[in-house]
Amino acid sequence: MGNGRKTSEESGAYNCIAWAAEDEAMFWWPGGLGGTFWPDPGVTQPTRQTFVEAFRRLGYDSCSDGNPEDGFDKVVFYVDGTGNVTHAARQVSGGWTSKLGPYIDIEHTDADAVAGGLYGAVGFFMRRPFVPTLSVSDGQVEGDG
Amino acid sequence: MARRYCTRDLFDDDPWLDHDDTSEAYSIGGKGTRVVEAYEVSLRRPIDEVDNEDRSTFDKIVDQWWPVALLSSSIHAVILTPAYQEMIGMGPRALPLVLTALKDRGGPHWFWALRAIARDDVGSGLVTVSEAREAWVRWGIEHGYLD
Repeated sequence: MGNGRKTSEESGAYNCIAWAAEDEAMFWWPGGLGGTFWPDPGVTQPTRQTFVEAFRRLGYDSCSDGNPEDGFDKVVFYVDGTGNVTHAARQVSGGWTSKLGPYIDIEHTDADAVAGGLYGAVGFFMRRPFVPTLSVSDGQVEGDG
Repeated sequence: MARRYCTRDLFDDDPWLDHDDTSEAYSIGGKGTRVVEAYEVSLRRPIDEVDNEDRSTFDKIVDQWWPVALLSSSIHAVILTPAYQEMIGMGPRALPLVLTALKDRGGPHWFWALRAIARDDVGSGLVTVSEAREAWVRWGIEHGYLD
């Protein structure tokens, strides 16, 4: 994957799906295998529907493209030739951030920069209204986004 | 390290006995003490007793699927590679090697093979890689596959 800029050290604790969901503690994958996490433990197949339902729980809904939109966070999912999901990335200012399996995080300018090979093709996009995380600092409430 | 014995008493609810010596017979309690025959089960295969040929085969197999696992989040994509299936096909001979690899390299992709070969999901219910890794390493030590 020579199409991105490394942004983290290697970590096997989480993967691309977790990173897209903003979780750095668990390895998200359907199947119920001990040591991995999926919001619905009964789901076993990595189909588009499986991922759509999981991310709906996080407030995401399907959308048509990965163009930046004010007020929305976006994620993109990659699929193999059978339509099963292989990878995901999350939109950030100026592009996308991907976790490469249990390896490193990278940033890439285009969603399709990591398409091809293991990850297959860009499959579908989802978005959710942007909700700034609030924190209290020196008596003032601040948004971090 | 405690050795593992299997009693030949088919009416025993828990045929597994932990025992520290190598005697042929072992006394167990119950309604009066009775003596049952016991024999060492051929489960124990510490890593230093693994055949060089098995080790070499294992290393070659892992070299084939590891590059996929390193970049892939998809457990399904990794376990369906021919090399990964070949590793599972090694059966119990691979257990000390898989456990050692999990201990040394980490990563979640070993869990499927361990579950398939050991026929036990030691990490069941655990949702982090580190928790499941710890559970499997502990299991490996308790069963004599790891020192």
